[in-house]
Amino acid sequence: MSAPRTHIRKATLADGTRTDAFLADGKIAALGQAPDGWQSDAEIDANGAWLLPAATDLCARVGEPGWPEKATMASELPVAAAAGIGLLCLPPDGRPVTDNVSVVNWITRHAGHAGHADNAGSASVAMLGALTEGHAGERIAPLRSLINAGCSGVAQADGLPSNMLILRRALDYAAGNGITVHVRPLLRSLAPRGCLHDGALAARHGVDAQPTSAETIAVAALIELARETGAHVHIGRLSAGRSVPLLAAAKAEGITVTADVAAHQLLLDESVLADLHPRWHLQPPLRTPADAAALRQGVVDGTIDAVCSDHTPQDQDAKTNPLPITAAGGATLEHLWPAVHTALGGDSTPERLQRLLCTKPAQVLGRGDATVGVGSAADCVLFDPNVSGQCDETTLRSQAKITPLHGMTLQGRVVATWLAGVAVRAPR
Amino acid sequence: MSLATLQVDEQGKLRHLLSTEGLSEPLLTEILDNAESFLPVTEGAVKKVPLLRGKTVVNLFFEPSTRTRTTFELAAKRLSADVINIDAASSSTTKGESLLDTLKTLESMQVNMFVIRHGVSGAAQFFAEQAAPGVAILNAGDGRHAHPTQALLDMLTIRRHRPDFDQLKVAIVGDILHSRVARSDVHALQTLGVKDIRLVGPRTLVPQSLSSLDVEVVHDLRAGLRDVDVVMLLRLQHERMDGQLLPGGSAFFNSFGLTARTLDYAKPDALVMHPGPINRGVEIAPDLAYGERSLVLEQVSHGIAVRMAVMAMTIGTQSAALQASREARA
Repeated sequence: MSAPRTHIRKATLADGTRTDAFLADGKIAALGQAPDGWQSDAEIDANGAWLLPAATDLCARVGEPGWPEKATMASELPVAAAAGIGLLCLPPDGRPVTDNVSVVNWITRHAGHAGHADNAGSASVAMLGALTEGHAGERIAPLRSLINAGCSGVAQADGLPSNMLILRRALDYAAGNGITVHVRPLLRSLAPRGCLHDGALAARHGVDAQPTSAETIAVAALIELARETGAHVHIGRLSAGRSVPLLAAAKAEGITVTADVAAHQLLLDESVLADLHPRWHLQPPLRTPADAAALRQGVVDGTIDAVCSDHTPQDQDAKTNPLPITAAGGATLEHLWPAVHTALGGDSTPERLQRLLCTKPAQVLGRGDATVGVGSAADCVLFDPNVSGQCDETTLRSQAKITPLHGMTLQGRVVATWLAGVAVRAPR
Repeated sequence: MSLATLQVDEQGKLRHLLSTEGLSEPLLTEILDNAESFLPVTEGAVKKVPLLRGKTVVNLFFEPSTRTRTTFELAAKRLSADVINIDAASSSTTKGESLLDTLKTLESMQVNMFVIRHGVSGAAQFFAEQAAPGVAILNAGDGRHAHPTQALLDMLTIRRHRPDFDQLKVAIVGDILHSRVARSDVHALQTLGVKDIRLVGPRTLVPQSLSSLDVEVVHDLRAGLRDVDVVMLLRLQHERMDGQLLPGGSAFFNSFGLTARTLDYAKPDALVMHPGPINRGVEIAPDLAYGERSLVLEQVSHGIAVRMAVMAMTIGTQSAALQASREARA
């Protein structure tokens, strides 16, 4: 597919300047004035909408390997692209686990094929290898081989391993090899089977709960191990407000930790669970309004580096049961941009969205600076902050049709995405 | 759909019984009145009325139970229903059949009512949401969430001795954390007007988060029992404890076991209740379990009448129920 020459009029860049952008040969050829002899194949009037880099999503699952009945790369990667996401980072907890080179190669091969069938344009995939063999927390996986095979980091995606000595040694090893380690902050022994926040709702319904301390103790432990080993630890998918000051203190000391939060954790709290609808069975669980507010503040002030979708496709069967025995997670990929914009409200600016969704997550994965600048790759998104729409799960483009954002009015919409200069979604 | 709208239809008639939470005071009182009218049936020479003749009731128990299942079975039989007991722990569900498939398969056999016990909180609501119109779901206990018929029989038992609910002080003692009975009792007591409810036990079994139920959480037995009219003990559910919630041995009994001495803190005529099965020497001193203030056996016999009332009100008709019980008394 050759990239057409595209003229985007009156777009707002991250720094607030309003300008024209010219895309050619898969790059941003010029900003402001057209290059000499410019002839457009396509012209779009942005009308002040925000022109930002395509997002990097630090945690999204695509059903593969392991659960093609829930979703596939072919179903999800084009959806991601249309939703303004250029790069999806897959955690290693597929089936089989990404703990050896052959699985890495399988994912690479299948991701490369996805989206080609309908020429829709398709997000790229970054992978995290498993920190421990089988993701079991007992033996360190071949980290160097996983990185050499193409992984962008390694992860323990379901919480701290029960053997903390293994974690410390793995972090030591990763630090020596310059490998970033992603960990979900959860001390599982404090929350066996916990599927709701430990508060009034869980008490009323008699459902196993996950106390805040199951997260904050894990955050504190990861910070201390990052301090001792010097490893870059990325703490993925926060849910507790009390984690934010721990991170802020660690960063103030110069400890190499970064963190992200799922967009829905900024928008929702446990009050939506009054009737225990499995749609809102998420991991980590939704907590209190105060937690959501503290997470939003952490995102605004930069303590939390990035926002991810935590897209976890589930089919109807997986959600057709009493909540405690349903599968956690929902389809959140295609509303990432409007969800973050809506959650931040008056604090949402083009600069802040770029930092949270593009620049910082790309840095965590060791990718270059994601910016819209002359000469940079024309992987960009046109986001109109002034339109709103209702999230209706029956109209999701993802193969998975269950989302915790269902019924919400979300502010802002991705009106166009270009990957390597090619429009994924035609402007409306 | 919320529990309240799920279990009561637009005309205010009981459609399912899932929880005492959200049941209105008039409806709860109506259940107790109907149960009261069934007591003569359960105590008469011919223990049968034809209210559910031609109806099929399935006891679908995913957890072991003797007492509750038996009383549901007797209740249905005394209403002339056909009753089938399915021990679901050893049925197709263990071969991978989903809960929904189990329900739909049995439903297609023209069942009118499912009495369901399941180890997961929310299971009864799930079945009610999925059930075909006209099929009633009775919750015989779902996880730690609710056990509404136990709470209703407790209310009937209290009412027959102390009908002035708004004057009562009630202590519920023991393993509240794991108890579906405690949650259902709290909702029912509150609906009937009890203002002073105390949940009494050690911190690990009575977490502070339970105060969100608008009750007083008390970690000292004597303070909890002071001047109460009713002491409702709970079974210490060993099988639900997967952490070490308490030191072993007699730690619980020493601090929270009901003895003649600790019962002295309650009012002199305080009632003692326990849903059974009793762990003697754990929750209660052996001599108190069936002592003169104990209503334990009365609770069991009330269980049948309460379950008959709920069955009649959901798949029988209320007027027929009252008619039949009048005939039985005549």
